[in-house]
Amino acid sequence: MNQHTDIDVHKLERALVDSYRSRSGASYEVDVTQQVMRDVRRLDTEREGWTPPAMLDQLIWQTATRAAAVVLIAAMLTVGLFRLQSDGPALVAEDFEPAPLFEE
Amino acid sequence: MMSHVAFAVDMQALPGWHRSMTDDSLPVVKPRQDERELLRRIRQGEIERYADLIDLHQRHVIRIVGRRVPSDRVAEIVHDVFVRAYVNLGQFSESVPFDHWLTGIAIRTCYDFWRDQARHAVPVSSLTEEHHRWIEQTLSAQSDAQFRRQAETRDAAEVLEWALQQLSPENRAVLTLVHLDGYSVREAAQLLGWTLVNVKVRAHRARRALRNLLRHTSPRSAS
Repeated sequence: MNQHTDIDVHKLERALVDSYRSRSGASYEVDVTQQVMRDVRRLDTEREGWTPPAMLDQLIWQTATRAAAVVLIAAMLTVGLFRLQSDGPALVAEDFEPAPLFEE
Repeated sequence: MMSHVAFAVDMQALPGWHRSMTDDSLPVVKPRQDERELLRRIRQGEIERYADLIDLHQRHVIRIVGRRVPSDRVAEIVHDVFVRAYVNLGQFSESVPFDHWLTGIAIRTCYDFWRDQARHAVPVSSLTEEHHRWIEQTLSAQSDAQFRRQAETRDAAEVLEWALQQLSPENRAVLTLVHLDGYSVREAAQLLGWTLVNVKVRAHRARRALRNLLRHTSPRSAS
């Protein structure tokens, strides 16, 4: 069985690369603007009331951040309030504790 | 017998078939301020401005698609590229130039086209007598000019298409990007959205497969 040599294969490869690169693709008289815009409008109508993804992402992040901040502040306030409530009697007790209950 | 005689092309330059791998015909347009403004307005809901964006980048996309799919499917694929780009516009982060992002979409759309073709088992063409003659004439070219003329013929494009049709869609996509367009493996991986290792392995396998195909294009090898 006869095969091409490495040098031949190399030449053919080069010729094919040159062939590929000589195809500019610019010769195509194609203008898809009208068709694309028709589909884009249809898509936009379909997602009526739908916020574009970028804005939606932004909105979700902003809402999540604000919600997290509110939860954090509420949690801090609650913990603080509980501390105050539980610390209150303890402080009062501490005021009295220094005096021994039973003196010898 | 096919001639392997002295060939005017400097054989030292042959390894350079994998030449400086930046194809000047696929320039990357620098991001422009007006383009950013255009994108901002489209994202804010002025969808009619998308037509301006298509006008700006249509030639670039046609160039990419025109090299990858049959000529009668170019318009359809270019259309799909721009619709896909619009649908995914929210994912464009502006960390890369818009046309680079669009190039990735165009390349993946062409890859999907070939995957679809493979799924439908479209019959693969075979080499004709004219193609075998082209191979003989190319190998026996006596000058650089003659070699270049050979490369610009229709037969050359058909032989290339025949060879690419024998490859899997994945190998075809990688071979086209790395060996024909001249992108680096890293750039190809980014454009396809695949891992670097995957592209590296495929680039190696695809080129080996191409070389094997070409090795057996001798008319006598078939007999």
